[in-house]
Amino acid sequence: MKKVCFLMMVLLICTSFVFANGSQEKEADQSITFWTFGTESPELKAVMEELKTGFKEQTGIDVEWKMIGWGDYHQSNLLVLSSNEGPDVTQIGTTTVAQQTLAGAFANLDSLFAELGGSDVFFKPMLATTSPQSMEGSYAIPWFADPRGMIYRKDVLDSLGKDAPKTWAELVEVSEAIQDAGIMEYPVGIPGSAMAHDLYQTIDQAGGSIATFNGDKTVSKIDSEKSVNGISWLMDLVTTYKVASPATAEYDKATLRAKFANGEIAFYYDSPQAFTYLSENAPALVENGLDKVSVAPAPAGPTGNASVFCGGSHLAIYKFTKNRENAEKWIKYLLEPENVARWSKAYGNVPALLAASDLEGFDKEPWSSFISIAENHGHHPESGPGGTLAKVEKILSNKVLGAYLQGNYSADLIDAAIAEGKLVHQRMIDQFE
Amino acid sequence: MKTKSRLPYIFILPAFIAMVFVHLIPMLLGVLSSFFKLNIMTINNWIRAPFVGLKNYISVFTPEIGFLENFLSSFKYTIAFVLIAQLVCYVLGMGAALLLNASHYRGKNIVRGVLLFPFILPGVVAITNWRYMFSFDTGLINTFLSNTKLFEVLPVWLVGNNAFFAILITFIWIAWPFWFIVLLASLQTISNEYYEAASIDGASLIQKFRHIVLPMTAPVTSMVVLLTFMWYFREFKVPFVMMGLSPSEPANLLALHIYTESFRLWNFSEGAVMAIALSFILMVLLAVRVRILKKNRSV
Repeated sequence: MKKVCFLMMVLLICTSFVFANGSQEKEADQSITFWTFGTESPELKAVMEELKTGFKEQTGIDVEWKMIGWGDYHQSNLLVLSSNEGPDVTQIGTTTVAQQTLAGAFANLDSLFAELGGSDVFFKPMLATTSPQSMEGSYAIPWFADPRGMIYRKDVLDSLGKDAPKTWAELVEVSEAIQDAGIMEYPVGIPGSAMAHDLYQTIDQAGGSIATFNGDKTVSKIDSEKSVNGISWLMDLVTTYKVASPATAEYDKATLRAKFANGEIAFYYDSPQAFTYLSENAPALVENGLDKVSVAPAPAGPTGNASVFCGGSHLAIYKFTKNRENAEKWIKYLLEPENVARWSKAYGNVPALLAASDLEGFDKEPWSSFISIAENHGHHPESGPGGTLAKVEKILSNKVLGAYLQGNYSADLIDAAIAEGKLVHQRMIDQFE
Repeated sequence: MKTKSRLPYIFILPAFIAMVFVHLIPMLLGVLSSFFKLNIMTINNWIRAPFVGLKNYISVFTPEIGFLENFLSSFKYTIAFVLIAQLVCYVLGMGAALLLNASHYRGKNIVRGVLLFPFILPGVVAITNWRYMFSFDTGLINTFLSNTKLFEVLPVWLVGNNAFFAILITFIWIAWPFWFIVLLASLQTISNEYYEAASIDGASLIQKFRHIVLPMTAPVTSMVVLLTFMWYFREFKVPFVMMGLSPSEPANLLALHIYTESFRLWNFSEGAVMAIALSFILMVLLAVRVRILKKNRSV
């Protein structure tokens, strides 16, 4: 009997311990939690440790920092949203700010935004995504920009007497010249397994948009005539012009970086991180500045738009935080020009704060070119519930490029894939109504 | 006396409580969520999500809305995946088990260990390696095929119809050693006297296999068939690690399809309906299979 009582006691203690912990409210304290997304390189870790130490010295507040891979980004956001448990401050990608805000995750940051200097102090292409189109105010503070540009092999083009292509037709023409000279089999690189960013810019180059907000409702526009032109153009590079590999559907950005470094492709879209990658993996290509590898706006579509996707990351505070004051202090500290510059440099992107754009060498190549391209041609899809193309990009890739690989391709497949994609896209948008 | 009879229940109480929290409650919540409008806007306060009755079931099973076609396509490929994987795993497992059971040589244990290697290796590591091996441009498989000059146009494995074979081959490589070890254990319980008696009667190898090995291993085989049917039907890891969310249709197995709908597209309620449908289908198929196996055993 004693044993039975003992066992019952143990069970009771364990159960009460579990429940007691579960119901504990998170109290305000002198520490905050902070999540960032990306790959935790030694350089990034060192910069963050220094930032944390500096902040602690200045305010006495500890920062618990966690770096999460981009692969777990959506899942992490969903977990926080569904559980109301998570960090006080988070990094948030520009394409998902609207969705998270509409779902009620983020606190309004109007006063902090104004205190930091308002819209005049930030990199313009980043401002449209600090709140959903349908809402007033700021729910995220720009941190660093991730501007894209067309990375190309200038030395190869020079050897053929060609300039960087400025129109869609020129891209095909120059690519065919590279093929004819036997330099590369498929000069254009498209990340077929994750091509949302390429789709955003190509649709804009054609004058279309992925979704529009009419003041009342957001509607998917991926099936509008102009959007279809943009999507078709991207597919045609593989299927019709044959300047991109038939295996495009398999490629992701990492594959393209490796192929570019190996001299297998001459054109693809990437952020300044491309140059960091090249300096580590193919230093000969970047040892003399932009002599061999350079960056340019995208070839313009029929509307004359030479748009390149300009994304990036903001900082946001979760509504549920009990450490709002400390969270704001941390954002203000991170947004000091030197700190933005150091983190952006280590991350491989450019600062979203104008005062930081001449620090850490951001006024030199290749950074300055990326900044200039983003200022003149930077494009970001509308900040709304339809800001992401989850699954749509895969439908296009699998149905169109997949069929091409199997020899079953016909132009009608693009329309069928877009129709299916629109259904998925609109269904996602409608959740926010 | 009373204390003694209660003791076993007290011992299983912690496990029972854990089962209730880990299995039963989430399962009931899953069923419950299929009757509510649970999406990205309501997940934050899911207890207050609007009740919609059977609307989610109608959405999933009405052809025009788009869920049904994808669900049926995933179901079709999942069934094919399970049946082919079971068949090939059985053939490989039985073949290796027969070879190892019949031979007497030094190092037999080492060979057994080597054959078990795919089963021991962490799944994600193995699958990632297979993914690279199936790569169109740089993969080992296409490099080999290109050297053999058998193919004018090299196959693309990770996209399109071949994606089914890519996940199937990878899965079989990981899964067959389980069959091998179980069947080997079963073969080792068969007394040599049966084989000796059969030899005296002039039975051939095939006859010995048909009349001794098959019936004697049947109870174990039927159990493995049932277990693996359930396991393989829920396979998620191989297509997810190899191709990510929303792979080509032939590789979009049901478990992955339901996960994508629920956790990437935030159709939680519709995902719950599909999961319930999957469980129901699985139960019906299992009942049919159990009946067939029982019938075969009684013959």
